[in-house]
Amino acid sequence: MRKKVGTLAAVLSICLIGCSPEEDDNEITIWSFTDEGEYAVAAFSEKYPDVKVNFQFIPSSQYETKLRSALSTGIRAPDVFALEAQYVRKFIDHPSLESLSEAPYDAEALIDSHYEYIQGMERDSNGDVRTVGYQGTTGGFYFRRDLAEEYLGTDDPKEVSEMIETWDEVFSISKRVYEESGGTVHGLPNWNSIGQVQDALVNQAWVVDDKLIIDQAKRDVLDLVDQAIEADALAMLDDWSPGWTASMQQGSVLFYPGPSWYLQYVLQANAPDTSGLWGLASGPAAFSGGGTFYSVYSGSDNKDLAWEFVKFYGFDVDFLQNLAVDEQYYTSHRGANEGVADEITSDFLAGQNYFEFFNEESENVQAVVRSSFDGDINDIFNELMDSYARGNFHSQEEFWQRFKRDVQTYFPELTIE
Amino acid sequence: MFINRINKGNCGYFFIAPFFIVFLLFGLYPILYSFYLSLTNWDGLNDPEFIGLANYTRAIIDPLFLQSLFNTFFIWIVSVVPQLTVSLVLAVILTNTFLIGKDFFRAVYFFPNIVTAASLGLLVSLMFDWQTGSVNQLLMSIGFLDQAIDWKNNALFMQMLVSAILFFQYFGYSMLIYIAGLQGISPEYAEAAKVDGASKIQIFFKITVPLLKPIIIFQVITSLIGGVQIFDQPYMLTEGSGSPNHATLTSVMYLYRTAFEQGRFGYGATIAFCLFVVIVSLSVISYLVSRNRSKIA
Repeated sequence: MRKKVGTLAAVLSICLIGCSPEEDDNEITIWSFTDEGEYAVAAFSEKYPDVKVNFQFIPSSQYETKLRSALSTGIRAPDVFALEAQYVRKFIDHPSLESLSEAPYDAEALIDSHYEYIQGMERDSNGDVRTVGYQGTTGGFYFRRDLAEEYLGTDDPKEVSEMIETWDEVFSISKRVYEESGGTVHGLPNWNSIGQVQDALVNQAWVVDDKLIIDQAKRDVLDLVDQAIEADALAMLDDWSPGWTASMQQGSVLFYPGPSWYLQYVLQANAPDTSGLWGLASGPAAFSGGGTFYSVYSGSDNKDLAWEFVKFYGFDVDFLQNLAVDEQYYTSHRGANEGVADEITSDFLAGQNYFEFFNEESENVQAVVRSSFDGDINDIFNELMDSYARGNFHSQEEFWQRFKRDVQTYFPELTIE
Repeated sequence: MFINRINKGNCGYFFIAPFFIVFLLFGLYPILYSFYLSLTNWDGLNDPEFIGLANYTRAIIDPLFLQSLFNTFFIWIVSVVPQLTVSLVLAVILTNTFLIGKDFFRAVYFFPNIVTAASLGLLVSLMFDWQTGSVNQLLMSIGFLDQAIDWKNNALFMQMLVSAILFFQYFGYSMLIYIAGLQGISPEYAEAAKVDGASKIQIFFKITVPLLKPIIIFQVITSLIGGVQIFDQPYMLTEGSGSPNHATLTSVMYLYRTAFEQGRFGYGATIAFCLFVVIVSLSVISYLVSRNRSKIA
């Protein structure tokens, strides 16, 4: 009996060992929460035909947990992994992210080609490069040209930009549009149109030296939202809600502030029939939104190849220019964007050369150093702001009290005054 | 004499071993490890830091955790009382021998249970979207409303809506359990009572309900265990926010947010153990209360 059990165990062990994939020297595994990386993998494989790349797309809902588990245990950890702007700061200082500043990587010299605000995300708390971005997420005010022509008298993006250089101007236009349209057209979809722009203007992270800091730019959001509500500027459409997407098609909102990826993933995806009806203008401040970054696992057996991939994705100008042209993808690389700016226009934006627009705007986006708490505290702030914009707080003081209480509840280790 | 005939060889252990091995590996070990994690501060990346009972002392005064517990029980009670009542009435009606088409109705009432909770949450969320939702459109088209109502900004309404989804999803399931219970009651009791002149209502309250008591206790305890774990419906309905003002933030949503969104696995494990204690306590209370009443009866 004992012999039989022993045999069974041996067979099982052999099977398990046999079933576990062993990477060879020319093979790397990449994890990402988005399938966008497949384009880069195909291009990388073309350039490096001897390298086998296993690209694994893991849905966002499971990605962070799975990545934490792989990085902390080292069991079947990927050689390269993607991080999203929302949680990149939670991982950036961890030793499982290979520091790329020094030899043999020397990324320090390479990241100068990236916009300053991207560099701010690529460096850890000590200033070392630990992750590399490929995507330029600069923002702008997308607007409906037909509505602009009707209510502002022009659909020229430059002229529209000059009309909305301050929030006061945005709200004043919104008020006029609301009144002239008989209440059917609003200036902005929701409070977050203001919030995401203000988020780029903060001078400090939410947490400095374990202390909660409420930056003036964040405080200003409440005043601005009050003003916007007063001017009937907000359509009160929740982001990603059916009403929000329908408004793009219907033309019931004039401006949609959004990052570069908003063009293909939001407007074109949700309002395909409105091609040619859109323009892109500069709002009261330059901002950015989101972003995907790739890091090398410090315990990887193939760090050289892993770095080749990350370097290719973040710095290979030929590849990035192809990505820009083929996928209408605005990249993090100044040189790549400038090289193709002349030839890239969008039919959806009525032929506007939006790369030129973003190239100018990108230089003005402020680089903000974030803390590991920022993503979560922003979530708390945004949730409460949703409620504030719907009139559920009697005063700003009540809002801040609740905000501080919630932050303290989630993060008892922080000092909150 | 019977015992002498049993083969007491050790082979039996071999056959029952797979269950115990699987249970130890995938059941008991994770439970014990979670308990250990609940005594630590762990972000899932760095090594867990042992902090004793600090997470537990934090949980018992955590206003969001306490609010989430209140929300959970409020939503559960509002859903379970009509659920168990309606399903019992339906079960009694659908066990009537002379009712035509009862199998059809049994199937129809059970259908909502087949639909996943997440789908139902999403469907209702779309229905109650205040600008494009069908509910506002319908009420406005028939002249019941002048302008759209922002349903999702009303805390009490949203709690009731989650309760309504739970009721809709589970009343058919409860009904089937009751039907099974009713079919186990011998018709002779009712016939005897009828001969003695009892009315149908008297038969229902004096004979059917007391005899169904074990089934009712089973329903209450299982729905309590399920109710404390409410997650999918409010999560889909509010896109994970528990809005407005945390009114639909249930305990498991809070656990999920703490552990899996914020990477605070130690405190997440603590919340899980607190919920475990709550479920066990309430189950024991339900059992004791019903047992004492049985004795009195």
